[in-house]
Amino acid sequence: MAVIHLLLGSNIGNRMKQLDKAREQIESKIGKIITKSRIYETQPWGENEQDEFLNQALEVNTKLKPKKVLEKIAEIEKLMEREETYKWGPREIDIDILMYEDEMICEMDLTIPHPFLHERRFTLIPLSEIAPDLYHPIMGATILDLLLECEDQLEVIEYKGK
Amino acid sequence: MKYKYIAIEGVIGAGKTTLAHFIANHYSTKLLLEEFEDNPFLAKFYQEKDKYNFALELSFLASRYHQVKNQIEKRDLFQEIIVSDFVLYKSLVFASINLEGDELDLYKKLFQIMFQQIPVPDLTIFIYHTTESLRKNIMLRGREYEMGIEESYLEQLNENYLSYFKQLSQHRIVIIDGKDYDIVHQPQNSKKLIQLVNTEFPLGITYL
Repeated sequence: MAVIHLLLGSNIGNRMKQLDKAREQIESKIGKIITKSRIYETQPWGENEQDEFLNQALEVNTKLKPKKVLEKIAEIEKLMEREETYKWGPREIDIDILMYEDEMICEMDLTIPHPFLHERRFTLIPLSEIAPDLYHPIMGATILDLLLECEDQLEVIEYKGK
Repeated sequence: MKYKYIAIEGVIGAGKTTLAHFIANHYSTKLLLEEFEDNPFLAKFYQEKDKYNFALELSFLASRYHQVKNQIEKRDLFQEIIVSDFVLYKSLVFASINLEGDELDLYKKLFQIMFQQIPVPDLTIFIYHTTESLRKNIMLRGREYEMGIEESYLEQLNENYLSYFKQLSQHRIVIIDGKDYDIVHQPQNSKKLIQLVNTEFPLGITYL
């Protein structure tokens, strides 16, 4: 059994519902969700005319190997009809593998820890809520330390619903 | 021009240096070209590939890291524009084919550490060519040590780049068809190139 950390993101349609659906799919296809962070709202990165992103970090127990987790995520994203062509544009659901235990993976289709984990507050804030002491094997620091040192300026605030 | 750091990428023979030169000349910007010919392991590698491939890949990685770290990170952010004809992850793309086993694992660890520490280009232009067209360019260029490169190797490189780009959601990557941007044989294409570097692209991959 492996402990993994995922980040959910959604910025189109009924975002809360999409996150609910993604968690349901994760429980059935990847493994049990042990902890989930609160939901945070972030300005979109790059494209300012888009709607805000909702993000949530999850800790999941899985029996699957990293590549298998990636496959299952692709299945879930496809099922939820994410547009593949416009990678950083509006999306129903985006699921990133942030960490897989303390493994370092560097393949053409998968990098763990996630290559931008330490650079973005929309990742570090939800993750530090559920795993502040998690150690990033490449940066050589905990998630909380990385958040304190992060230079990203984007505002990330807790989402209370509308 | 909106972008301050532009990287041109492509497989061997795609015409990276030509495009980088052109953009840099047009805007009188700084040009950062990969220093590969003075690599001390290159000649040895072509004599005894299996013995020197790890050393060669490592020295390429080290020298690319050094160039990016020194030239790009330390530039005057408010004034200087830089155009380069390589990116650091080129190293990973090649090493994933050329190395295996423990050597590849060690290489990847070093790469990951280095990759976290370098600036991201504001725009990356990937020049896509079919393998036949790359082979033709390589023949025309006539570098002796490139003559024996097989099409399957070029194919694999193309595939690796396109696959790796999908992970780079925080990079702005534009994939162009090399035929449409051949400025050597059709100088009128240079207009399109200038237009391209003045276009605002979203993060992630844009296919042109």
